[in-house]
Amino acid sequence: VTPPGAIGTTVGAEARIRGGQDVTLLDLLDRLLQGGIVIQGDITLAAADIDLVNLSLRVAVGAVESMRRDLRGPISREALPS
Amino acid sequence: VIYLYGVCHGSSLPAMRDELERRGLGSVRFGELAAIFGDVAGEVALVSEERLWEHEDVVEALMGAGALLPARYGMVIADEAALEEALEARATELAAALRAVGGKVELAVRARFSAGIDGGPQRDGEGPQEGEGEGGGTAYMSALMQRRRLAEDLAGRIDARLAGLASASTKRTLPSATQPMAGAYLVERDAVAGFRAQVQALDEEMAEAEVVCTGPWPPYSFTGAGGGAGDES
Repeated sequence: VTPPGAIGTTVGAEARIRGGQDVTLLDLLDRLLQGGIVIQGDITLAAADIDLVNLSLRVAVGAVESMRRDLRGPISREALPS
Repeated sequence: VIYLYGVCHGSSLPAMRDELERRGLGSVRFGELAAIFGDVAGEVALVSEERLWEHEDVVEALMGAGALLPARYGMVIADEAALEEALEARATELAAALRAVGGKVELAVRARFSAGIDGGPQRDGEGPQEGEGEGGGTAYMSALMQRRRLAEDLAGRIDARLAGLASASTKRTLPSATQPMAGAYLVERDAVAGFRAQVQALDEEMAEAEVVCTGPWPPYSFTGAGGGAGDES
């Protein structure tokens, strides 16, 4: 998947499929913050990009909660806007 | 402190060598598994769109060399020894997950209610609240239930058409008030075009919702044993 407006690598040579910039970013958030391998580690996440947070605060907060459950350990949420 | 990008077969490392060198990445092996890591540069804890795309770019580049289980964004580990221990602790599960995603990619499917057809609480007294008078609370709850029923129906119809094209899938029903369904499908690389065509057909057929597809993505939603399939609401 290529970031909207940029040229980058894709998974294989398949045609790029887009659902619009907002949908692509939402799907990126869903995958990178709620999917993927989770192993024991020390993680501190903070959401810094206000546009990103405006688009999907639910996803970002949900991801932090999901990671807290997966790691069963402390996690800090600095700079998350209220 | 190191930053995890993913886990792959150790046999994929030779094909990754140039990419690892170019990006300054390292690897740790345990048995048939290998984990790819990088330095923790700057504020890795800061979630921004740019940093998410940087992570995605590395993972996609590594996938070019073979099957890869992508790491969640932000996985920081103390050192290479700790990473090797983590591989050892979950070797069987990771190997099974790697086998499940080999040759496949993830496609994301998301449905959005069409304008005026969300089935939920309406504005300006139209829809489910009409004629309820002071029974607003009851009307509101009734509208919520109507929305959920519609979402479950749409999600079921979408999934019925797509699940057969995937080796594994997972979906959420009503992930937000405007979205009846969000799903992830693990699809053979050469089946991506057919899957996309099916999503487009669904989008054209469904008056109640817009159905969109993004990808191909690395298999973030299928990194658990057995492909990580499952549904949740």
